[in-house]
Amino acid sequence: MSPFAHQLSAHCESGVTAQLLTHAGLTLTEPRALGIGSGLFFVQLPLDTLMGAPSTSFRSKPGSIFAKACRRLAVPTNIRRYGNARVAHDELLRLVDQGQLVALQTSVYYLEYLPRRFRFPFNAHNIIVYGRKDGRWLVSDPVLDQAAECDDESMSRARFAAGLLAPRGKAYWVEPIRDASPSRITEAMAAGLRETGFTMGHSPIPFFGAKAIGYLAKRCEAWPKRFAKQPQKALLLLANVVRMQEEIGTGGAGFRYLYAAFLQDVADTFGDPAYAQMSERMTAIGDTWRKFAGAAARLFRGGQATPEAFAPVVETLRGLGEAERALFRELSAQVRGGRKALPAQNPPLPS
Amino acid sequence: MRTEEVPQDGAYLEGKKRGAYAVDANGRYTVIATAGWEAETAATRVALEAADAQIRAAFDDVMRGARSALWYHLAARQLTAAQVAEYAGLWRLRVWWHLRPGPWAKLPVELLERYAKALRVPAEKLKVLPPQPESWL
Repeated sequence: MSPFAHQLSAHCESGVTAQLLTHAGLTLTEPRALGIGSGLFFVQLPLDTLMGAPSTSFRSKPGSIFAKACRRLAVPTNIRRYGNARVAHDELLRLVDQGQLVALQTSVYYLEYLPRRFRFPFNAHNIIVYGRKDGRWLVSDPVLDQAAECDDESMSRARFAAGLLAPRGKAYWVEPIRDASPSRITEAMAAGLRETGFTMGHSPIPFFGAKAIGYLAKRCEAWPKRFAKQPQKALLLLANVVRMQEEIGTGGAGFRYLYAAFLQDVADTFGDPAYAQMSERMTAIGDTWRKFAGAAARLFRGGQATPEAFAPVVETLRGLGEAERALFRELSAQVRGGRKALPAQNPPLPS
Repeated sequence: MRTEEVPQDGAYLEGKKRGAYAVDANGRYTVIATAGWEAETAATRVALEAADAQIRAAFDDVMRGARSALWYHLAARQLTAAQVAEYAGLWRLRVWWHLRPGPWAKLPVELLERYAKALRVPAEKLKVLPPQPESWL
């Protein structure tokens, strides 16, 4: 197998998926991994926090990008969880010795090569182990510009961290792919678009999809009044939304730029300029998400949490909800070619 | 966002860089490295300040004698009692019991060692409070 070269990505799981598949012989870019794996999503639950974590999310369930992308590309996967850190370590050692790239789900809290202020307890960070040198793992963390190293103890801790989304030692890898047919890629891209178009534009549940952005705006509007006595709490909840959008594994602006890059790719692959136009609109939506984060940051610095101070931020969110709903409904109609909206169907696996 | 507009406000990334997608001069998306964005830093700061406030409150609780030093060490590492119970291989109820000053003072050495390993703090430091509460900022 060819030597592995670390590559910079914007998001951990789509970056890991792209690198694993590319290394196995099926060239895949990061935006394609995200788009095919339907990584873009929006969730706002009717709670402020869920087991201490924010109840807002810009992503689909951790692990689903890899699983969906591989299923749609008909690539067989190996996904293991372990009950015992010793067994997990030995198996990783064996795989790495064979020259296999292995991706791991880890907690950022124990990964000491990361900047200190980002090492909060978050359990769904994906990294690649590509080798071992002097008793230390050689780690390719896709969100950093350089490869890193990690010792055994930290690695075991990171893989067996407790709490929400506990990784339980999860390791996944792809064996070399012999026949990568290009026709699969277009089918897979369409399947990814169908699912994202449906879940974002047509979700029947108001806590999921673009409608939930409007719901977040409504909740956000109420925070200054609800926490009139403790403005810091209202600001913390808003800060959590911004952190979910920018920092906690969404590749910036809550995946919107990455998805715009995917739509640009779709326009070229399908030869359909309608997608290029949607890509531009998606870029504008990403810019608005950034504007929202910038306005929120000014609120944090001011330390003020009054309904008047929150009003522009709430308005921006509401506008985003409407713009995204319209865009994803159009996207859904475009990819279905006029057929009725139904949940995405996956192409059957060849036997 | 265009590549030249990608923010490069380094502070919290400690000189490391992350990836971001932006449109280049030809209108094509590419990945480029960013040193961080100050709006993101501001949001992180709010969250770290909240963590610090929680650590200070825990420090005061222990100083007042309402809780054991373990309560402070959990807050300082932003861990819950349930998480440390899993790391130390103890029942949650036992961890809860050890959050009380009396039982904590009488803790057998082998149990203290288990907590020390779980929290990655030397046992002699675990028993007492540091002179100042720690800060995540």
